[in-house]
Amino acid sequence: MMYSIFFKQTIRLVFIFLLQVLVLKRINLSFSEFNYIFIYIYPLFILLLPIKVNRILQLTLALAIGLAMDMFYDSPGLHTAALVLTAYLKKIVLKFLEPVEGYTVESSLGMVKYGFNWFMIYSSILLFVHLFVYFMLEAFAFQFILGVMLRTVFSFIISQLLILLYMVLIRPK
Amino acid sequence: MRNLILLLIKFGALIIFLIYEIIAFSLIVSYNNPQKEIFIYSAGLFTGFFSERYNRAADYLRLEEKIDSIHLENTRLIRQLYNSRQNDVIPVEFQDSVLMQYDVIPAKISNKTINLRNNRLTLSKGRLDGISEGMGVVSEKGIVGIVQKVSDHFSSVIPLINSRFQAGAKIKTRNYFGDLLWKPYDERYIQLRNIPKHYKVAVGDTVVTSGYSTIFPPDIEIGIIKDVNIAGGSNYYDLKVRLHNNFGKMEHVYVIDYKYKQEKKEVENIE
Repeated sequence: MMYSIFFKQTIRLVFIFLLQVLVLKRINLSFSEFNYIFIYIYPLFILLLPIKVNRILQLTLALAIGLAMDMFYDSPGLHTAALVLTAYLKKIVLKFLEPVEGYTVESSLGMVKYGFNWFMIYSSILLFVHLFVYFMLEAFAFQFILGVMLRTVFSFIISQLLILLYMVLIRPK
Repeated sequence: MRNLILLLIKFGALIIFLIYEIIAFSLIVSYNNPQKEIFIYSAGLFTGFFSERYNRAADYLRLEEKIDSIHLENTRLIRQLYNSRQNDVIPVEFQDSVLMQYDVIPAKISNKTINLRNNRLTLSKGRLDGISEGMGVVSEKGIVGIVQKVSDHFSSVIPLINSRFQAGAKIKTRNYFGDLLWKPYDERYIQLRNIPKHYKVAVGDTVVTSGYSTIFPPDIEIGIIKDVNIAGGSNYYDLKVRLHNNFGKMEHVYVIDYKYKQEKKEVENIE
């Protein structure tokens, strides 16, 4: 059982990671003045990690993935900081969204188990926070708050759509 | 140890989270140039703000020290001033201690009253510091009083604002001589009496010490004339003088030791 979780998660990690750095990174949706759209779906891996996985391990995975992302995106620390925060907030958001019948600790936190609406709210909150923190750190000053908000909103819409597409197509259990 | 482990179990995730965030943050500010610049700039603002606050607080703590040094410096200057008035034909650098008619001893007020009929000041220096009965006490702004009693470490002063205080004074530039007398309860004013009414006196004239006594050197300011009165049937002015000194605020004073006091008294008591 443990082996199967480990195996599944590793496959997913590799897949999402390669998707992000090989495909999504190259998609350039900005034209002339309008450079507000960036697609980031890699937080999905952290979002889907089962509750059973130790929280410290989750944070460490977030650190590792973030550092790897930063290597590919050439932005030391930015993705790391945002992703570690997302991993930390995950438990808090889960506590707020707990369904009446509670969570199953071993399965992935997908929409098969808890329904479309639940997953939609859960992933939106964390993805939005993640993107906001990321763009905020990228700007690193409150003067650019308008640009940060625009980037967050546009990137969020596209990224969230892709995440839903991923969930519908691959249907992780 | 057990508590530490419990703490780690309870807050382990939080601690790890904070450590990871610090790692990420240090990466951001050390390897991303724009962020690095902003960080350094903001940190500069931040530390600048605090170091400025700190300096102000430290300055405040050093205030006492500064006041003391200013007090000593003033003492030196006042001594030079009083002696130069006496020896103005001799350049300062040639005035040795033989020519020093006045010595000035700095002192702090350790106790005072200002709202009684017979007010008192106590100085925190006494006989061992060279103070003796009958010496004059001044501040930077004007005369304060006369030493009445001395112990080893303290001395008691009769200030201007005491109904038993007596001293002569004159109006600067006009050289009219009169007597100072305090009427109780207003520590801001003193009366100047016994100036004959055929002299010309105006509001705003400065009142200074006469220098005729052995207590105060001449020409130390006391106050300015605020009100000119002649009591009915009197031949003398009754002048109201606004004191330069604020007895409520005063803390540091200077005691004047006139070296030739004895000699002068002897020659005046010849008959």
